[in-house]
Amino acid sequence: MDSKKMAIVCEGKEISYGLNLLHLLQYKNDMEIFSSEVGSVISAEIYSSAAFRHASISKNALKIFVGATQNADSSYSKVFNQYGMNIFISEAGFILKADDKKLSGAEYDNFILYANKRRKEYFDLEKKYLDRVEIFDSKWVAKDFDKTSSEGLFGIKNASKSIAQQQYDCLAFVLYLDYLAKK
Amino acid sequence: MGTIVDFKSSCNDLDVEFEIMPLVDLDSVEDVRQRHIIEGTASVDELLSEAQVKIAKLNSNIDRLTNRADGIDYAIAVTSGIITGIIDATIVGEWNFAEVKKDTYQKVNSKVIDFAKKQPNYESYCNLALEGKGNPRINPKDPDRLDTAIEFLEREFHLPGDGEYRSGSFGIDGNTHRIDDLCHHPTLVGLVSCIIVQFSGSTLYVNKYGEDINIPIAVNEYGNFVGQNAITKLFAGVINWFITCAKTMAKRKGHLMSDIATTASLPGSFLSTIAELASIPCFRNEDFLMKLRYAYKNGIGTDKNQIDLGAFNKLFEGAQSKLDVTTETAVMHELKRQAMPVVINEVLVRASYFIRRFISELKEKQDVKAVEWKNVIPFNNRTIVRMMTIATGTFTAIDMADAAVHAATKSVDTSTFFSNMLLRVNFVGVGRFAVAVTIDARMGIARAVKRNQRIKLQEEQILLLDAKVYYKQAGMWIAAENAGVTLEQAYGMVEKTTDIFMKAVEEVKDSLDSIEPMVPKIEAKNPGLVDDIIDQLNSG
Repeated sequence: MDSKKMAIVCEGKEISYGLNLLHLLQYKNDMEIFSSEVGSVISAEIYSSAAFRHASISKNALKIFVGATQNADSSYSKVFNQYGMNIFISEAGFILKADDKKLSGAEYDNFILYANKRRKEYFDLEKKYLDRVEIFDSKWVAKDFDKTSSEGLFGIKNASKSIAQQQYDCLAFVLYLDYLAKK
Repeated sequence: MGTIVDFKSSCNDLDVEFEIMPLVDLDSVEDVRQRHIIEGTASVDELLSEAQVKIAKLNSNIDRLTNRADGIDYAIAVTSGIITGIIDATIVGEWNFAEVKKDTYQKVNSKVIDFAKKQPNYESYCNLALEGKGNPRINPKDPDRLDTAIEFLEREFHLPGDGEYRSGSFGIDGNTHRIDDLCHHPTLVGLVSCIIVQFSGSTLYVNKYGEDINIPIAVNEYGNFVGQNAITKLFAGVINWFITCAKTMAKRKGHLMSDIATTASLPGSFLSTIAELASIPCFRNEDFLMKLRYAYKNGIGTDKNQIDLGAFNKLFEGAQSKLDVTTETAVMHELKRQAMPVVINEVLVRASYFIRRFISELKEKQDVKAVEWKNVIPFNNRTIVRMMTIATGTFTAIDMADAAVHAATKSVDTSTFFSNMLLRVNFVGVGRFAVAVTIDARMGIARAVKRNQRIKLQEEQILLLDAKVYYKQAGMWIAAENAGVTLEQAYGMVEKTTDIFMKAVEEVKDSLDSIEPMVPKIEAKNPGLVDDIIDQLNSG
C-alpha cells in the first residue's frame, strides 16, 4: 500500500468534517504548506464524491470516506464504536460515520470527557504544528485548539457546533492518533 | 303571500318601504304536484338565466377573438412591414459582434476604473506604500490603469468564500468558480446567496458534476450590536441583519466590479440564470452543467471544449466568444439595434389601428365621451393581432430576402451561404413574428373552443326550455283533471236539486189534497171564506 497518497472523500455539508480531518494533517494557504508529523509523510487531498470518481487516483492510495459518501458493506469491518462514532476499515480504506442518534445527558458528558482526552493527546503530539496553524487560521483548527481551559474544544454543550460536528471532529482525532500516527 | 326581502329608504322626509314578494306563494298551494311544478319551473328559469349570462360573456369573448380586419387594415400592415423591412436592410444592416465586443470591453474597463476612483481609499492606495498605509511609493501606481483598479478592488472588496474551492478537489477551478459559486452571479439569486453566506458561515458551490459543495468560511463581521434583554436583543438582531445585508450588498458590488474586468470575467445574467435553474436538484444534469461551463470558459465555436452552435457560430466570430458578461452585453447591444425597426413596425400598425377605429367611433357616436374605448384600444383583440402577424411576416420576408441576396453575393458554397445569411437576419424580427403567429393561432384555437362552449350552452338552453314545456303540460293536465272533478260535482248538485224539487211538489200536492175534506166544515163555520180564497187565488 502506497502510504504517500491519501484521499479524503466527502460531500455536501459533510465537507466541513473532511476539512477538519485534513487540517489535522496539513495546512496550506496562498503562501505555504506545512504539516503535522503524519501529514509530512503523506500527500493528502480532499475530494467531493464526483470529483473523486473522475480523478485518476491510484488504487493503492489510502482513502478515507467521511459520512454518507460510502456505505459500509461486507468488505468493511467495524473497528471503533463509541458514543455514536464509528470507524470502519477495509483494504479500500476507512469510513468515518456518526450515528443519526443524538447523544444526551450522561452519555454526552462522557463523550465530552473522552473527546477532550483525545484532543489533548493530539495537542501534545503536534504542538509545533498547531503553533504555526493558529497564526493563519482563526476559524477552526487554531482558534479552537487555542482554548486552554479544561473544557477545550468540546466543552460547551450549546456551542454553535452541532453534536454531529463534534463527533466527526473527535473521530478525526481518533483516526489520526489510533490509525494514521501508528502506521 | 310571504315576503322575500324588505327594506326601507328615506328621502326628503319620505319613508319608502320596499318588499320583494314571489309571484306565487308556495305556502298557499296545497297540491303537492302543483308545488313541485312551480318549484321545477323556477329552477329551470334560474338555469336558463345563468346560461344566458354565460352565453353573453362568451359572445363578448368570441367577438374579441374574431378578426374583423378589412382591406385597408391589411394594406396598412403590409405597408408598415415593407417600410420597416427597408429600414432594417439599409440602416440596421449586418450583425457586428467583433466591433461591439471591442467597445463593450472599453466601456467595462472605464466603468471599473471610474468605480475604483470613486472609492475614498483609492488615491492613497495608488500613492502610498503598504497598501495605502505606509510612506509614499517610489513608483506610484497609475490610477487610470485597469490592473491598478482591479488590484485595489480585489483587496478592498473581498467576498467571503471567494477562493475557498481551492481547499480541495471539488471539481471547481479558477476559470469556472464564478459560475459554480452562486454569490458571483449578477442576479437576485446571487445577491440572496451572498447574504445567506454571511449568516450561515458556509459558502455553497454547485460544481460541474451537479454536487453541492458546502465549505465553511470566515465571514465578515459587520453588524455586532448586542442586546441586554429580550426586546433589545430582538432589536439588535434586526439592526445587525440590516447592517449585514447592506454591507454585504456593497461589498458584493465592489467585488463584482473587480471580477468583471479580469480575464476570467463574470458570467452574465443570462448564463447565471440558466446555471441557477440547472442547479435546482430536480433539473440537475451533469452533461448540461458541463456544457454551461464550457460555454463560459471556452466560448462558442468548433474548437475542443467549445460549444458548437453550427451555423450560428458565425455570429460570435471575430472576438473572444466565451459566454461571459461582456459577450452577453455585446449580444444585447446588437439585439437592441435590431429591435429598432421591429418597434417602429409595432408602433405604426397599432397607431393606424387606433386612429382608424377612433375616427369611426367618433363619427358614429358624435361625442368623445361616448366612445367605447375597448373598440379603439389596439391591444388584446384578434384584428390587431392579425394585423401584427401580417406586418411582422412582411418585415421578416423582406429581411430574409435581403439576407439571402447579400449572402448570395458573398458566399462561394451552400455552407457559407447560410452562415453569411444569418449575419443579416433580424433575430428580434423573427422572434416577434413567431410570437405574433403563436398569439394569432392561440386566439383562433380559443375562439373555436369558446364557440363550442356556446353551442353546448345553447343546446342546454333548448333542453331547459323543453323541460319548462313539460312542466307547463303537467300543469295543464292537473287543471283539466280539476275541471272534470268540478263538472262531476255540478252534475251531482243538479240531481240533488231535482230530487228536492220533486219532493217539494209532492208535499204541496199532499197539502192541497188534505184541504178538500175539510171544506164543508169550513163553510159551516166561516161562510163565504172558501169563495173569497178562490177569488183571491184566481185574481192573483
